[in-house]
Amino acid sequence: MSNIIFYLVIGLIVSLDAMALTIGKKSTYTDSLSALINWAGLNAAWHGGLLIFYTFFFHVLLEYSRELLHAIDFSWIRVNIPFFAEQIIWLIAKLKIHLLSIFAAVTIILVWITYSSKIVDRPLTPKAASLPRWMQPLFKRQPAGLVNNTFILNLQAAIVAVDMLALAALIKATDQTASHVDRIIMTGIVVASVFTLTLGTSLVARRKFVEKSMPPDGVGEAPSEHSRKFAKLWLMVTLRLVEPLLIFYFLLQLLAHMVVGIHIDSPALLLAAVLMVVAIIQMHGLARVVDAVRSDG
Amino acid sequence: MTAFTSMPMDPTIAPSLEGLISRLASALALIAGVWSFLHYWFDPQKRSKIHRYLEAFFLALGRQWQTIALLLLAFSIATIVPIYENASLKRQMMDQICRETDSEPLKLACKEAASKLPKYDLSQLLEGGYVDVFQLGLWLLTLFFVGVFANILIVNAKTTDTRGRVVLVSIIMSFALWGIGVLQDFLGR
Repeated sequence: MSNIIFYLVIGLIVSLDAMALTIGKKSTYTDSLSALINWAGLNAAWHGGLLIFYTFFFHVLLEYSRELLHAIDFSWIRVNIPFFAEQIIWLIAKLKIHLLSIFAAVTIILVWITYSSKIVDRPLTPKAASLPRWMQPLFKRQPAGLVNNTFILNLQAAIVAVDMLALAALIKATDQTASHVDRIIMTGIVVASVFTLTLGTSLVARRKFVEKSMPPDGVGEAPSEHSRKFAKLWLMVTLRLVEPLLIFYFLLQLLAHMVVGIHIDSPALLLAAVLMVVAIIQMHGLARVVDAVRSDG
Repeated sequence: MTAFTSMPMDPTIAPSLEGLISRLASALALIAGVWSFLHYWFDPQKRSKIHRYLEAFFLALGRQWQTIALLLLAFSIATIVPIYENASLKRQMMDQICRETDSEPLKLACKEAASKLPKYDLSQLLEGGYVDVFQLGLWLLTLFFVGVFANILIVNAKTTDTRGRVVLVSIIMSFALWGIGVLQDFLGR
């Protein structure tokens, strides 16, 4: 049960960027309901697809590296390598022990790189260069006939889902006991969450942020365009920052676990996560983050 | 050469990764220091490609020093908090054991032992695989400060009259890495 709650939390966290993008998209306020369902489905599919792909990729990478290190025959090294044989054996033994620590260190770097670029990314003016290198050929050329929509919507949804790489690495490093079935359940929950929350956001945004004409009787006051724009901008900046904040919390939990070997929940870790978000903003400058969001609107 | 002489060189001691890295880093730092010194001293205009890459790297580090400082602060919190939490957990467990002890003398002895438990416990940090993370942090910290110094002094040293500064940075760089080597050696014991 606690696993399901954790997966729901993950589902909510990874939906935040899709929600922010949905609020920023002009088509959210003009398209038909079926187009909105299609958009929510695309986001869910890209999130779920990339999450399961990366999850199994990291599983295979880590488990096979472990197997490979265990398969190395030390006596062969002693016999066949004339120089530094003991040091090589010692190094391999260290690698065996610290494989998970090394993987966790790589995860920390991956999460940082992913979110430090994602925070200033502009998915509404999408470029294939924003995707990981291995995915870029998929979006190299816009196929003839697929005018605008299918191609662009897929590219946007793929760009928003790039953080699945960091998430998959983080989950693999944090939880070693989860089975394949657990992973598949988690992906299913993520898909359902992204779909529901993206669609829900688009419906709520249509109601809240679309300009209405003055009431026919002239009584009351319609919210000004300025206040609506400000509310939208504020919401999008917040959603962009909340996702890294929550992911960083899990990242710091992982770091804490690496230090003393126990799992802790502490407000101090949340403070540290806030510091990491401030560090990202410091790196790019708040103006750049706001500009990136504005360009989406 | 102090980096080498300060390390235990007893051949019966198994080589450690930390020791190897420290020695290698110290050697590299000394070579880099001498190389920088000679290079700038004799011909400051003709810098090699590697030298320019290094400068660019240090410049980037220096520019992002606030970001790196914030990250180090966040990572320090994530390191220190669990050490305290862990010690507090141990004290709670000990208190529980004391409460459940029936014999009065044993209870007293237990309480005395509990009162002697440290408020923080570094022992776990230094055993198992976790020490690597700590050392990695130290390495990043050193790199950060070397980067900032290098940015302030080397990269800004455009003219020949700043050779003195370059020499100073080379010395600082060598000593910083040597210091980390010694610290690692100390922690590794």
